[in-house]
Amino acid sequence: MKKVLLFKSTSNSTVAFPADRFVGAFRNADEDIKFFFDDMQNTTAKAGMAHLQMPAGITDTELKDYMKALVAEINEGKSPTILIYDAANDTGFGDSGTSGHPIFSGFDALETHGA
Amino acid sequence: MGLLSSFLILLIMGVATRNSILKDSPKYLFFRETAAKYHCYPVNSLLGFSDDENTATGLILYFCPADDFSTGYYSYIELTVANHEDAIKDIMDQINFSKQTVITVADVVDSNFLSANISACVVPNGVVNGDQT
Repeated sequence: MKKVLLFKSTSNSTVAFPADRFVGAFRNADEDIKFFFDDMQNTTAKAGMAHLQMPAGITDTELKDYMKALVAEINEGKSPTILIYDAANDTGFGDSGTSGHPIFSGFDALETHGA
Repeated sequence: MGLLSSFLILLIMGVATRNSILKDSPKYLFFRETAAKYHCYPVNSLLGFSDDENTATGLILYFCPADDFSTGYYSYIELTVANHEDAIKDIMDQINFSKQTVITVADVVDSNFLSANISACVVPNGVVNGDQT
């Protein structure tokens, strides 16, 4: 199945990367994480990026469990469009629907290319 | 080389060829702005979606360029959409679940659109080199 990972930084700012162009993620600091993708505009700096903020207190174990669940969804989920995070509604994959997203709280950057 | 060895090599080559075919895109996305401006891209060439910063209703689809792979060059289509997220979901659903080999995403000439979320498209001439977002 062809899938995309969708990020929404505002109600009108949306970027979706194909899941097969996901090249890695790392915790940049205590309160932010970067998802990298192959870029969309074939630029010299060949990376797209979703730079997401996290609330204080997210442990490495919580983040690891989230990433394991996300990878499972990419590999086994039935939906072709996976909403990772919608900052306008504080929702996305992993959200139980009760009190906002448990891992993400906003965007530092959302770039299709040149990251 | 014995007959059995030759047979095994042919068998391996056959398997490799079949795998290669399976990896090829079985579907294509079709866009037509005017009678003379249209494009059909293999789904495997899709590089992603983004909103257009300059147009609230613009959704850009990026593709591998068909005829120029120089750094900075790419192809794109810009759709006019009512809601970015819903339009992306509609397109991805059709890519994965449609029985059509050629999926018409936007055909302005025939007023044929993949979903009610899509109402127009711009088909640039050739590849482009410049930031569209």
